[in-house]
Amino acid sequence: MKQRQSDIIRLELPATYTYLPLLSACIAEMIEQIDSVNDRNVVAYNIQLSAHEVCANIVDHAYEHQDGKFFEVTLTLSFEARSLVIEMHDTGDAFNLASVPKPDLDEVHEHGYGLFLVHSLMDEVVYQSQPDGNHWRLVKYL
Amino acid sequence: MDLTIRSEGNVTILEISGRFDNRTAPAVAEELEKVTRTEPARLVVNMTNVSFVDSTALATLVQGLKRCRQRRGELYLCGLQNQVYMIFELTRLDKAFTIFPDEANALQAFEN
Repeated sequence: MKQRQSDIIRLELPATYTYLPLLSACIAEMIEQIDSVNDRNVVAYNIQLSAHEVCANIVDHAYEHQDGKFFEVTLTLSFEARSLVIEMHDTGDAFNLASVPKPDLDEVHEHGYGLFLVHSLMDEVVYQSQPDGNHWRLVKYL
Repeated sequence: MDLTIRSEGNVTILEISGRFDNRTAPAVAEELEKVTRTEPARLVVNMTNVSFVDSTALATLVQGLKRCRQRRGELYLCGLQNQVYMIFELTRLDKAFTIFPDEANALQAFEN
């Protein structure tokens, strides 16, 4: 039997928080497909949280919760590379990633932890504003 | 998410279950605002059954902590699941909050 190369899930989500738990469910199921992941629950949560934070950023900043707006999420689980790649694409306002400072962890903040968590928990985080919209790419090696 | 509120002596216990995120945080914030209207604001947030916490939930808890301290009280956290506790460590909020393994220990701390 031919070995599976990759599993791909594509979602189109409205620009609202309502359906973000669907993303967490997809990630949990994909992580289950990989054998021998250390601290599986922690790894799954870290990826779920990172994807959730980026999607929340899209809802808040790219679309500012506008009705009728959607963004695409593609999750690619590669068996040979043992990686989960999550790509998000929206056509909302561009985001100035460089304008987000890393929080001073010696102080207690009410805001500013979201993207810090994404960068801390994922192996690769790339954001690009292109003519067809904004592209996020998160990678975690399992 | 489920939210229940109980009292134990002069301590209010806010018990959260399920996902504590940007969708559910406003309900928690509203309850935190209500229970911190009186002085001293003594509050235990029991997160034993919280499976997911995002940055909005962290912000909500920080706001609650500040409100409690402004009202001569304290907000204790208890029952954090391992993956949630690790997020508190990563953001160093484990230093800002007093975190107990369970509700009994948190209530005991208010008696001391």
